[in-house]
Amino acid sequence: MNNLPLAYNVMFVGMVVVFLVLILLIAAISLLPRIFNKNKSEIKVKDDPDYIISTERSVNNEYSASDTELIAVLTAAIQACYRSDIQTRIRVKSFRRIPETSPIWNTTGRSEYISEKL
Amino acid sequence: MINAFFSTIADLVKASGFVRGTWQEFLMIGIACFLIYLAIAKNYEPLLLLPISFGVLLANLPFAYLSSYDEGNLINYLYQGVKLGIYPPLIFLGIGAMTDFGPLIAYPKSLLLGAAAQLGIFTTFIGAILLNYTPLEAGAIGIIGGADGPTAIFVTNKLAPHLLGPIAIAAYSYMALVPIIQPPIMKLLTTKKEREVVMEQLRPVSKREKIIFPIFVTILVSFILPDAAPLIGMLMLGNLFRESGVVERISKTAQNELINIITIFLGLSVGATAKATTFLDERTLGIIVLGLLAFSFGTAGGVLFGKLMYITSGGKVNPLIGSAGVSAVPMAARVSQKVGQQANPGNFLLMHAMGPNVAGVIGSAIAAGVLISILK
Repeated sequence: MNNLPLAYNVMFVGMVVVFLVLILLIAAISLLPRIFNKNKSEIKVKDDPDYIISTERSVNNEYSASDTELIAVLTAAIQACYRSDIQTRIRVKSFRRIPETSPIWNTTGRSEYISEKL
Repeated sequence: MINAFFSTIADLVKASGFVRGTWQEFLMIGIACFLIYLAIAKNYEPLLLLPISFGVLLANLPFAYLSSYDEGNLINYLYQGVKLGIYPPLIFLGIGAMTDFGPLIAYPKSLLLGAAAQLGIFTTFIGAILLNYTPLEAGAIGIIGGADGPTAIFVTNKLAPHLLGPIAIAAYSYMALVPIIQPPIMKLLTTKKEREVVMEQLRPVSKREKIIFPIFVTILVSFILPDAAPLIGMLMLGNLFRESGVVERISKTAQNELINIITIFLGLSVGATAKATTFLDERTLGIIVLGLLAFSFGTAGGVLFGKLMYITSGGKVNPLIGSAGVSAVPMAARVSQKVGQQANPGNFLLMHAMGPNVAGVIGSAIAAGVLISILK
């Protein structure tokens, strides 16, 4: 019991120091993208009253079979995203493949969830 | 001839562990077998629990002298890595090589959740003082709340090495039990509406940011808290191996062979410190209870701070990710994901919870540095 003032002191100092150091880290990490990231967002989504989604498409204009499936998936995803009903007109005019940027935990979590549902 | 035969057999029986073993040793062997069962049948963190529990078994075999304190046996030699503080930083090297700090860099505010979850360490410190443990012992017990095995061993070794066995076993056992301990606390402290919050997609993090991050963190944290440098330094070195992309062989070794070998050595020698004569007393029971409180308070601290962020962000932060701030990578993040999906099956919190989860590793290393620098 004699050590109780010490205990409160350790708790107060400890929590303050932990928060202080991590707040300093937050400030520093927040500066990182401003210093190092000059690239703008690669995906630009434009919506008009008809909900026509337009992005750049790669050179080939003809849709392969897999592209058609992909467009169906994209259309469904956009519809789900906008929470629109089935009557709403959505047309995916073009798309562009970008490199995989999702961290491993993200993709693992998604694939585990999907495989659980299958 | 026959009499001599039976006499020899009788002597052998009298000398056997069945007769000479104490009830305390039999109890410890029973506990070890139960832990082995949990590791194999229930899959509770088997990578740690299996070597630890077998170490407990070996240490309590009557007259086998296989505990970490019995000089001259293999386990005693392996224990030197614990005693000299070699294994915990090496484990951190491997953890760093396996960790993606991307979610943390993408959403730096999650560091605050990693800080709030350290509440368990300091509240347990007070609890241990109230139970008449010395300040050094209380510091070692409190660090169980960091939910970080290597950190717990590192701090205990510096502050109260005589408590290494019970503290290490409590820390690793509770880490294995995170999926059982955390969900009731998380549900108790949050509403269904809060648990259903879908968080925004994290921004992509550039390679350059990921390379700068470990160097920067090492310098900043070590300048402020030199006592945290062995853990943070090795954690960030491992991460730099991974992110630099120029030492793939070393990175793979750190995250596979090295960490596996050290885990065997560490688990076995820590388990073998739990000898019946030193382990079975009321102080160990106190440590087990306080360890559970430490985990619970840490989880509550993270979730409550998550609620605060939910309010201040206008409902954009799901408070469940706060519980991942207790470290225990990646189990705590998986628990956030699981509880979140129970409320909203279409919700993916895993990536968002990984931010506070790895922040918890940094936070507990900092808290360890604070305890060592104040108490030692």
